[in-house]
Amino acid sequence: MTRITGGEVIKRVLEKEGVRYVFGVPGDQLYPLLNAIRGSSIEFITFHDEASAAHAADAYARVTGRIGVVIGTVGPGGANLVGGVYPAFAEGIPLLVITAQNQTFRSYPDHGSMQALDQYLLFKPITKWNAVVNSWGRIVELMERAVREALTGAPGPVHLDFPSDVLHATGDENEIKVHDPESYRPVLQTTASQELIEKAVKMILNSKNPVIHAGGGVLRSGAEKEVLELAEYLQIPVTTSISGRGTIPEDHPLCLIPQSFGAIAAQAEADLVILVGTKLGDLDFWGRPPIWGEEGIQKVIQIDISGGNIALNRHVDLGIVGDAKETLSAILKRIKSITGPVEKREKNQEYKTLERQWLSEYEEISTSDSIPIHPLRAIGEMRSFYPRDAISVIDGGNTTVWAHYINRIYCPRCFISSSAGDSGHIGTGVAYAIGAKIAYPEKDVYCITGDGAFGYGLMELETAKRLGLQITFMVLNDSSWGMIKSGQTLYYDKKYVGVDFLEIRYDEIARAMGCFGERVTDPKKLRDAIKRAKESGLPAVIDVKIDPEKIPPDFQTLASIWLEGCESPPRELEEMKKLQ
Amino acid sequence: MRFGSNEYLQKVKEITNSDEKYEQMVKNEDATYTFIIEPEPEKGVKDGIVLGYSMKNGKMVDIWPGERETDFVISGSYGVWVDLVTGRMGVTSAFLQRKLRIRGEFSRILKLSKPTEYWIQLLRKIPTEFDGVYSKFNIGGES
Ligand SMILES: Cc1ncc(C[n+]2csc(CCOP(=O)(O)OP(=O)(O)O)c2C)c(N)n1
Ligand SMILES: [Mg+2]
Repeated sequence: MTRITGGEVIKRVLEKEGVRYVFGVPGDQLYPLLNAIRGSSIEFITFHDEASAAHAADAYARVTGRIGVVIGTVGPGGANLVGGVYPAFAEGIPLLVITAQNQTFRSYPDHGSMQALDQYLLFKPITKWNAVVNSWGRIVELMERAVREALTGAPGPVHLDFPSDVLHATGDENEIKVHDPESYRPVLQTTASQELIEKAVKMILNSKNPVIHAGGGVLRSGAEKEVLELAEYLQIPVTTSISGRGTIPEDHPLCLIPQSFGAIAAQAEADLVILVGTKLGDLDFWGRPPIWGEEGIQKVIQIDISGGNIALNRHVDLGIVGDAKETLSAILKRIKSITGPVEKREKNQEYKTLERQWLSEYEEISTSDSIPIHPLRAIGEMRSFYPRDAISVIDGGNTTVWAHYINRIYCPRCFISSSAGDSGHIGTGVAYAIGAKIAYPEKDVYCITGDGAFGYGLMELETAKRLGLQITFMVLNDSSWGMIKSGQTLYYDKKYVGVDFLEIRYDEIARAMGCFGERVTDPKKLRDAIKRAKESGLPAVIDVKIDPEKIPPDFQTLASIWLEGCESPPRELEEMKKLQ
Repeated sequence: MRFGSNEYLQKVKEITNSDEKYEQMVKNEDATYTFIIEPEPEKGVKDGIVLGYSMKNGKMVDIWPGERETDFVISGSYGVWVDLVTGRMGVTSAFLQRKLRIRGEFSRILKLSKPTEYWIQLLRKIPTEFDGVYSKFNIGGES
């Protein structure tokens, strides 16, 4: 009879699930789990900060489609994981979050022990499902359930809280059985009924001027091929949400870059919108006119894995609950059986021209030789240096908006950005890049980040160095929380508060950690610096002194979305008072 | 001169028609427009302004006070127009924010957004006085 610890049981389930990496920060209570992982097929990757570890697990899940696993210790570890789990929750990324807890007999409720924290309640609002595992005998069952919850239906993070006595407890290994994933979770996704498919097909074939709008759910489902095939077969233009970017190459004749004039015109004028895997959130202007057509006039078909997302922000004419890939493939099959391909749609060229018009302005600025360097120039140099299938990680405030204009995405799951996603969480970039590079060491991974955002994950340069990962980080250094400062410039008469940093040399910090580092102040020297960074074979930081005065043209639109319904800035209120 | 006054409208026409770059930008974009500038009594702007104009071969052929049937009708509060004319807000941004409401063919509106941004800048050459609280933003008329 072999007795095994709770930690060993966890490891065995993870192995069966095909988990290769566990990301985290260790703690005393976790010893049995750490010890079980040592020497197994799983690698424990240690970080300097739990939130970063969670971001890395999140990025790993985003690019591979597999579950990401992150571990933290009781109390401070758990608390510090929160910032990492929240973006995954907001963006529907499957993560298994494992925390240690104090012993069963002194927790829930605690009575004065160090590091005590009700982690069950803490993680409740930022996970799909969570549980406290209070006996060795239930580890397998609850681990399997957690993985099932994370991956089935709309994906998302789940959390298991393991009291240290459960991790340390031993039991006879014959008392437990670890199963193959097929036996504890559905491996095939759900399809809608044929009746709904028929209805959708009829609406699509009857429409004159349809548009497909693809969200992050398409990438999660792996439905990009089906979207493209449907679009090409019927010559339907495709727009994406920000998190759906990469569904269609952004230079494809049918793609209209999100928020470009081409996309807006197509969305506003379409007689039918086919929404796939998107909730039409704020960056999609909630699906409202004038960016979209009027309800009742413009028809909407919405396909989503989660019934709760159907009509969340806009009423629909047909709601279909089902997996994007399966559902689109059924729709496509039926359409092909009824009609041949559509040659072309008149309007598409017009939309493309509008998109070009929108884009050309930014492309022009991106060749500017001005000093200090224009952010678009730096971003343009980075994008053009790397191949189409490079993974680009974007982080920061204004930096993210600038990058949207010029950092084109050409392949699915090649764009990772929380600051452009549903959480808007800055500070994820360094760890996201690490997680993505671990998943695909042979791929180029680059990160363009604001200086403020970079600060959050700075110490993880050591993690990248230790793991031997060549990733190039371009830091757009404006010595400030630029986006917030922009708002104070525009709305508060430049009365700045809480937005300025000292002058910092991020390249020097990188070199101190054994990484490559170079500062660039002349735009003509960007290209060579990017080349040297890659050729160094090291994690590399290019610190670019950018023009801090530049504010992205869409700043005001974004600010108006985020502050909708708030009273006007004090400047005008003061003027009004004078009148009374 | 007072924003929206007859004198102002004539100046708008003069400035528009003396700019070659603008003429080039819109020479194939004949259209008629109505602007509705809504009053804001609580901010000291008692009267609204309605005006229209027509563009042909890159020239403003007519500008008039009041309402006529036009291709586009663009409306917004006085304060929004002040923000546009003084450059505190872009036309496209105002539109996306639903601060400007536009009736007319949508893709044409977007196509015209760049010339319109440029045109609004031209208006900044006109010495302009605003009503109510907005007098703080009066334009001296330098280019
Ligand atoms: C975790 C987190 N904290 C605060 C914010 C608010 N925020 C949004 S943008 C921004 C400034 C980002 O500065 P930086 O990364 O330097 O980028 P820049 O705007 O200067 O390009 C801040 C603080 C946020 N989105 N996320
Ligand atoms: Mg900054």
